[in-house]
Amino acid sequence: MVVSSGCSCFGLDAGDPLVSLKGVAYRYPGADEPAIDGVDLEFQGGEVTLVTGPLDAGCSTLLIVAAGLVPRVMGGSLSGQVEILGLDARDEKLGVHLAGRVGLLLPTPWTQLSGMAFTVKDEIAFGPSNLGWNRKEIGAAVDRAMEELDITKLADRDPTRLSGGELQKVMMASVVSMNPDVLLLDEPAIELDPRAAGALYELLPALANDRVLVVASTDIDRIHHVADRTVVLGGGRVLGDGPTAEILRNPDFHASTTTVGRVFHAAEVESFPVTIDKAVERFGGRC
Amino acid sequence: MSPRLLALIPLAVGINLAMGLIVQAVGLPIFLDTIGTVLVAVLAGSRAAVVTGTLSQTVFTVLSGNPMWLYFLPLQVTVALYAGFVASKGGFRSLPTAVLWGIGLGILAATLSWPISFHVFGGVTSVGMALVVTVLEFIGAPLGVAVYAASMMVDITDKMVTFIMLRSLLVSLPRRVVGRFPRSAVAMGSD
Amino acid sequence: MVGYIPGDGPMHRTHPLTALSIVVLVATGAFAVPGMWNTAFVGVAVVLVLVERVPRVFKTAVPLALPFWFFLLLLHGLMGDDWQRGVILAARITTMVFVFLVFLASVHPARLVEAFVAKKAPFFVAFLFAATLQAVPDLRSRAAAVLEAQRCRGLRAGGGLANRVGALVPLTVPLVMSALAGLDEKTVALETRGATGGAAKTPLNPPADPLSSRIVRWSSLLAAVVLVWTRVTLW
Repeated sequence: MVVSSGCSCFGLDAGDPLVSLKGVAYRYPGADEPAIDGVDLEFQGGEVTLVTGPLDAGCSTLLIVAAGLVPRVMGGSLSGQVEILGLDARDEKLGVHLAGRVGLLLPTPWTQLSGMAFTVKDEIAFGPSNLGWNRKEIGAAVDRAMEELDITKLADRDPTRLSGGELQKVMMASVVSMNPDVLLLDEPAIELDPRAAGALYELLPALANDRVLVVASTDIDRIHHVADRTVVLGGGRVLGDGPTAEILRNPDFHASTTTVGRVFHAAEVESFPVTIDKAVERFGGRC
Repeated sequence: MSPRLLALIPLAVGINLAMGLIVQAVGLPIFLDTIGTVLVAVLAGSRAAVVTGTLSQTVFTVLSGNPMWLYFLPLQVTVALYAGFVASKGGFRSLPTAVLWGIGLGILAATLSWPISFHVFGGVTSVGMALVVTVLEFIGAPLGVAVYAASMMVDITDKMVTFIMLRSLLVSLPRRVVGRFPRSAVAMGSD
Repeated sequence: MVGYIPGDGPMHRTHPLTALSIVVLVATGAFAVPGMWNTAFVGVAVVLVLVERVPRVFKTAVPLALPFWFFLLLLHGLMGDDWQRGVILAARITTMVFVFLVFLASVHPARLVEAFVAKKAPFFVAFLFAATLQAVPDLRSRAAAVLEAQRCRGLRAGGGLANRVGALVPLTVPLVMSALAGLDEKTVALETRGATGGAAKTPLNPPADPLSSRIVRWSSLLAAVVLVWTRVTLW
């Protein structure tokens, strides 16, 4: 196991995207319509990418596709080209090659419990121990993940008896402890109160160090300032993709911007601020 | 074993063990403790169902604290294999076919559980069974016959109702679930 | 209730599989020793409970065993005039119940799972055993919730057989559907947490298994095999 980041990837050169989707459409088994369609995206290491859009826009599906789970695990039909760490998503051995290298946090943390751990510490150790790391490495990874998420005090608690917010942090630690090269977070703070959510988002830039970090969220007010790049989805298609500041100010995406941004957009002000701080700065003293 | 099966099997065992609460509430003298096993047979085939049945009996034994239940392990395995076969033949395509296959399983199960009930338990497997056996023996039936008759009554009803429940379940299964378990469509008789 | 009772008796301290082997030996004895001699194993089981200092086991074990004595003596003794058979059967069942409960009281499920993993049992065996123990209470409370909800909606469970069977449908279907609802997420979680990556899982807290424990384990199992073999060939 490699504790330091830095990716030993399959046939990837420096500068190649770690995850790439070309003309991708995916339909769930038993569904009539594809959940995402015509998606072209590339993800590099080291930056935080925010994926946002209304309900049913395909944000969660995008993460599942980027995790290499379709069609191998989820079934359904995939078209187009999906490559994760240089591996084709249709590779039958993908599960073995990617084990522990792609972390996915779901918005329903209780469904992610291993069912095999009787303490929080062992829950977080579930992933690393499945990867066959030795106990010393596992202990170090678990301690570090608990510190990073500030949940060391929960170490000996029963994971089935935590609050929603505590559990969500424990599951995030469980994903981070595997030190994945690709970290995909689906609404990672949906169970947290606003302050705790803000604190969690602050951790993201450090976690993105060298790895792909994609976070799907509609909590744009709190998360936008940590996102380097924002992808807006709608109806399963990519509507916008660019630096977060540009996307938030783009009138086309007014529904996918901050509350302040929406207020100014509604007031039909050209070139508007999107955070309260910036708004105060700009209009300070005028009213 | 695929992650989908790893996720499904504990739930199916949980269903087997939770059905006790429901039959108790309805006041039927049956168990329905193989519904989860039959469900897995229909969704994922016999092999996964055998694992489900084995695990059910083991965990039920552990949780009840009564080791004698482990003797009925062969019964769970039989149910798993039989249900897998029925599913592959489209045996749940209509209510009457499901009922008939269920009765067949009941007869098989009674024939199989009879020697266990008789030799290991001396006819005393549960209070309900014991009462039936006692009454039958009192009116003059030999003990072996009494145990067999009691097993028949209980098992046929139990397995028939189990198959009726499975048919009701399959009818109301959402398309997304059917899509994830293509075998369930076969059990319903579509090719 | 049945289950683990904290303590420090010999079965608590030894390797879980060694504890299991002792249980297997005593239970086998109750079946293999001929005639009424097998009642001695009830005594052995009682001694196990006392040595392990888990007297609470009696509270569960006695009510489980008593009905067997009652019905078996009634059926075989009073009505069948074969008192000996009644006693032999009841003694077997009593021994099984006692030793099994001592085992459950001495070995925490988590330690048993760790023992499986440490002995390189296939991942799915250890996982399914542990995950099922956690799934059962969850499904039971779902069943209770479904019952509650349907009663509120006026479900009445009474009357004839057909009526009662009919009442089962609105109870069973929601229970199963709610169980299947989170299946995709669970599947995804297991996959992305390396459960199916094929590496040999590292035991996190492997129970100690010194030479003494291994000797006890293998001699217990050997003794059990000898008992069965003698039984089959001699009697």
